[in-house]
Amino acid sequence: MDYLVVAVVAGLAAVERKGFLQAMLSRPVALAPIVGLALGDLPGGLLLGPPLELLWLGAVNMGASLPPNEALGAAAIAAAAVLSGRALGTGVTPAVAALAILLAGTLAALGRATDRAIEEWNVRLATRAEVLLDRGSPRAAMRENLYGMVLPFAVSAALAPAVAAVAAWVIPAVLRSFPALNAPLGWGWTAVGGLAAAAGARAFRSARGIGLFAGAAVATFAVGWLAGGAR
Amino acid sequence: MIGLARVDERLVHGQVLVGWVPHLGARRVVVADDEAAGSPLARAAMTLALPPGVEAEVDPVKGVDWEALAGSPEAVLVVFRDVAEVERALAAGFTPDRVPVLNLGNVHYALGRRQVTPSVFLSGAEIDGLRRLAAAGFRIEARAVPLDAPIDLAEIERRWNAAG
Amino acid sequence: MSIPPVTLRRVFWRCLFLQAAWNRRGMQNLGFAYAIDPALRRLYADPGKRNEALRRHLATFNCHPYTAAAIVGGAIHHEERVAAGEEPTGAPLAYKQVLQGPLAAVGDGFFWAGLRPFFGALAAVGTLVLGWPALVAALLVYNTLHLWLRWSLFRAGYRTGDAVVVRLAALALPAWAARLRDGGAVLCGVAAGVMALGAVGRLGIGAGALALLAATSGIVVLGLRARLLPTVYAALGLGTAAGVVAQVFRGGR
Repeated sequence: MDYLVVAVVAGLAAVERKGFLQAMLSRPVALAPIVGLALGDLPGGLLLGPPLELLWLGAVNMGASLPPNEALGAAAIAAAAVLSGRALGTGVTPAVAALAILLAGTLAALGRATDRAIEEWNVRLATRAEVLLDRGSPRAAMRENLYGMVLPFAVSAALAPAVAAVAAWVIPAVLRSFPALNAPLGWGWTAVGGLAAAAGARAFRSARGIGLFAGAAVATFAVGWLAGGAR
Repeated sequence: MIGLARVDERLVHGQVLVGWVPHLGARRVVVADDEAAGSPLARAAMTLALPPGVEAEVDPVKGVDWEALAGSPEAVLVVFRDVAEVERALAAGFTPDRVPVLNLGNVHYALGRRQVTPSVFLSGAEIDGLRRLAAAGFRIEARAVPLDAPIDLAEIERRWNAAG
Repeated sequence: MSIPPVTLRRVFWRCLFLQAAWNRRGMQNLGFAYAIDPALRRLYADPGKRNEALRRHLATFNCHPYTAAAIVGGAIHHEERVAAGEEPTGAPLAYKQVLQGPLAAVGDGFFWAGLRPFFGALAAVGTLVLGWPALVAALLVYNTLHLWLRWSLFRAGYRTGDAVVVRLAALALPAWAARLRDGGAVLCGVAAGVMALGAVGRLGIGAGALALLAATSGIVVLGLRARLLPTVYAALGLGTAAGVVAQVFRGGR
């Protein structure tokens, strides 16, 4: 049942990302919490959303060039983390999140390859629309456009739960066998967060951006530190 | 200095302005295209997307002062519509010593063209044209955006033959 | 004849499916034809003429999915004139071909490289600091803005045809994009600071330093064009190793 939910959410995200609407609902910052909510762990999803968003802020479909499929990656990572956290009874901890990224992150790269394959396959839809039009069936020809959403849905709906299932089996096993890993992996997750923020800043490709990024980071940290110290 | 010459049927678009212009540090984009130069709508549209500090001009292929572009202190990005236009430019003074690389960005599918990269389709005549341009001394590569791996002419020819 | 508002709304709704069958050959060609079809049905009562019109809109087309709405609107503007015999049948296609590249550049530069990542970073910081209400608010603002712009572009294209370029130029989107990119970089810095503070609270000052170190070295390494995912794994490995060291160090005391 959980995996069915993951399949539907990942499939809809794949459609929203390219075929219909593009309203940021398939961006990691929204999608990870949606997956969390659908699986009954909104806080877990909210923990994952921000770093994944920043990490893939530059994952943008420009013209005919394709980025990694951040939606597929985020859906699988969030599902893996939430289901592992539930199995462990701890919820999504930083250690769980770190392992989920490790195991499911490459799905974003695989998703880019499947996206490309889908675009090749879709040539048939366009060709078939031309044939139908020549035969005098404009309505049927135009329906071919909507059929283009079937394959992205199916591919993501198959891959996200499959990878999440494997990860949700491995992660609890690892953390149960090696509980000492929990704390160091928490540090690993911290490093990923810092890197994600840097990747986000890089994605803006602004000449002044690096200075602004560093200044804002130091200022935020200093203000927070002083406010915390005063307490 | 001409930082890059690019063949792109879409002329000025996102891959050019968001990808290549910052990558080259270019301040100027020259569209060498007779058709666009003759259309007021195209000329107005070309300047729409320019980021602050970047200029664009649209000239007929024979109207470009290649020597001045090559001698300009800042990097210039030159865009052509197709391979045939580059050959016309070569005849008009766009010589290999004035530009390091000829990049193939977007050449759309048309009858008789075969696919060599996801965004480049070439006809037999265009392959011959590229061979002549390479023989003239241009280094030819196909890639859409700077982060893609460049594909050289030998590989382009191999893929073109394989696609036949 | 002019297109009734209900049909225009229908076309706009269909514009949201522009990329449904994005394909390597025609790209958004099928999506474009699908979107404009209700308007063509209004304009060409004769099925042969309608099919012919639909056929010409199956030519290769690719643009940004938001700004393309202006071209769909403008193509209807030209089709009205074609149907009335005022323009040659090639006019809508010429319009599409000229505008697709520049409008894609505007859309990519402003929306994909400016507004959306800005709101992504804003939503991320909002979620980190305030939780889900901030996330929902950020998404609502982004989508109100984006759908309003999409609809306005569509309407401007339909009403003004070629002059939509003038309208678009007046919006000065590239200048806004530059500001949004600077703002977005600041937001990423704030996110780094907030996450570092969180790490201090969870794991101590050393982890806070690690977060800032990862941010700094991330900027450098990614600036050298390192690939993203391997860099993430390196950060994960090195961070975890640092955690082991920290634990040993603490255990030894």
